[in-house]
Amino acid sequence: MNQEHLLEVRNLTTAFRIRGNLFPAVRGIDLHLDRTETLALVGESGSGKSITALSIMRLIPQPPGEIVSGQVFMKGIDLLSLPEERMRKIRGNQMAMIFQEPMTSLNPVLTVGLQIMEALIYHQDVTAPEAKERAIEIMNQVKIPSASRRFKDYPHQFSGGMRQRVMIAMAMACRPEIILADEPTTALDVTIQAQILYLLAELKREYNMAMIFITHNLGIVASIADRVAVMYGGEIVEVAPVGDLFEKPRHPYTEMLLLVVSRVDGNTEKLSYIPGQVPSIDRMPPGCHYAPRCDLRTDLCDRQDADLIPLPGDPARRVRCWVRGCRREIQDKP
Amino acid sequence: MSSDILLRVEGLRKFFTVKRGFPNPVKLTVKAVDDVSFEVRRRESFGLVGESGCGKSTVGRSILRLVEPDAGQILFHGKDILPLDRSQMQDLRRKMQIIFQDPYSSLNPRRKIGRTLAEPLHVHRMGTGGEIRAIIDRILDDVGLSPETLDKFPHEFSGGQRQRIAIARALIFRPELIIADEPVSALDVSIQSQILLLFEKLQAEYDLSYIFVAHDLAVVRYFCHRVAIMYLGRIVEQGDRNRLFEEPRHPYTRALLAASPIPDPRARRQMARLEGEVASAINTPEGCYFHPRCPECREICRQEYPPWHWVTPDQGVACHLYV
Repeated sequence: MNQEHLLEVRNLTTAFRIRGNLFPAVRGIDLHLDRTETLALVGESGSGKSITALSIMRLIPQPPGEIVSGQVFMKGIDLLSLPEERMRKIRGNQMAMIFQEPMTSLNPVLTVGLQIMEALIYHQDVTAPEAKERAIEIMNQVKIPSASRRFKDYPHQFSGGMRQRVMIAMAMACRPEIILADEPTTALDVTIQAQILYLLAELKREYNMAMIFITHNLGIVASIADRVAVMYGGEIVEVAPVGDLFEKPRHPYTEMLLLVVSRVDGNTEKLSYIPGQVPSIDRMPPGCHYAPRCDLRTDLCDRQDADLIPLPGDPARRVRCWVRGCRREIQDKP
Repeated sequence: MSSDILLRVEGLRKFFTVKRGFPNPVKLTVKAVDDVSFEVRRRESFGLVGESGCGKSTVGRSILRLVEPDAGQILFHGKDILPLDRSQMQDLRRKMQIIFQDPYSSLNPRRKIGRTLAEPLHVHRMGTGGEIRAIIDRILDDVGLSPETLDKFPHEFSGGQRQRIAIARALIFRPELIIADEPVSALDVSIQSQILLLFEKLQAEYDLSYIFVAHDLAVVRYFCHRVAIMYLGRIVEQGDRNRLFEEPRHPYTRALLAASPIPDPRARRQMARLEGEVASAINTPEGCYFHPRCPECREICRQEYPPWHWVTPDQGVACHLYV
């Protein structure tokens, strides 16, 4: 086992039962996260990025969901094999999650102060007054103005941006080593989004945290990520350091994804488009999941899915593609 | 020049009254749209941009009189539409259509698409059954949908296809103006570009003008010819797309641009942060509405709302820095 990774996911498959049949929502996920690193998980809706994060946290609703196979090692311990009580000690303590919609994740009838204190009291050996003091300190750190007064306010009394700060405060309360942030800025206006991204980067640096950041926004990926995993149809199709990914995408899907986004800096000559649509989990193509929309498709792509394998001479980059991957090294770019 | 102008909005104002508080509610005024003026030229895409609550959607809806403006003029082909009565307005709405962000909530879930598309044609007696069918087939083809679409229900389609259906419906009377209210915001990026390209194609084929209401500056930069930036119910800057994006004048426009992430790690920068939050249109600040967040705030900004000033013939701004 690779001891140097903080988190390592191996061959994770999570399936959902639809009308009696089990369909994988994510399949064969392999990824790792190192200390202080930011890994972006990018994909469109239905690509499985949230399911991956929820599986790591063991928060998949069961039924209808089910983790079918795989391991999630955190510092050498397989989280998926732990009894629930032990997992509960890790969740919110060593590993915490921030969701997209704070209003639905916060309890509307408890003051935000109590909700931040809760994690501290549950996980750490502190008295209520100590927890309160810590909670106010954290609210200050996430820059909620007049924290000691707002401690007693309810979630609905906060704006969207401030609610997301409350969520971040809850997640940070126990100084976790890993933060999983699931589209934490998608519901926010762009100026507020910039504030939250900056805050996360600042806290990450201060506490030496590692972060998995889930987003569909390639602009955010370029701004904050160290490494990127691109997901499509429940699988990781490409993993690369952020610079390489944007400069020289290898998977045809990644390549197209970069050509279909409009750019605020105006470097969009002509927008491309990907024909067709993302397949739903009960109608996944038998071969490569992207094949039906892919320009480079071969017969093999239609029949059989490729593996996610390192590029020759570049082990940091992995690609799941018969044409662009290493198994049959064809021409570099057509 | 003026014959080139399809729509002209002058001094548009819409205030709403809301009740806040419990158990003794007080009436408050929301200044949703205040003194908004702009023009839309033929075959132009005009972008209305701003953050949530800035009034951009209210402007769009006012133009169709889906909300009734309190003051101002809306001149379509030079004629004010606000005095028109109900039936005159109904006729005019053939020329002006609207598309919403979520097509699912604007399509009747219990009606097959064929009926949804044919109904307005029947209501306006636009021809025999066969003629109507021919019109619909043609439009379906134009928006990239197959004829089988007609026998299906809205839930059988993906978000992108539903947006195509909404576009088909908007096109039925061959309108001159389409107000598109965040038409791609709910779509995945790979589908967004499909729909944007469709809008472009239709603009040429149908001689359309668009008012494109959006919050995503990248999409607006790609799609719109001219752009107005709104903040708390007012236009703070407007002008030609290239000028506005390359030489933004208003500190708010600059802040918006600086906060929009660029999909290129080499452009990674200290993301400029605008302090504070968007104030509410209920308690608009004294002076310039933006002054509490403005990095270049001066004394006069706290006292007076800045007058409108055309810096160049195709770029104007409401900011004391340029007076």
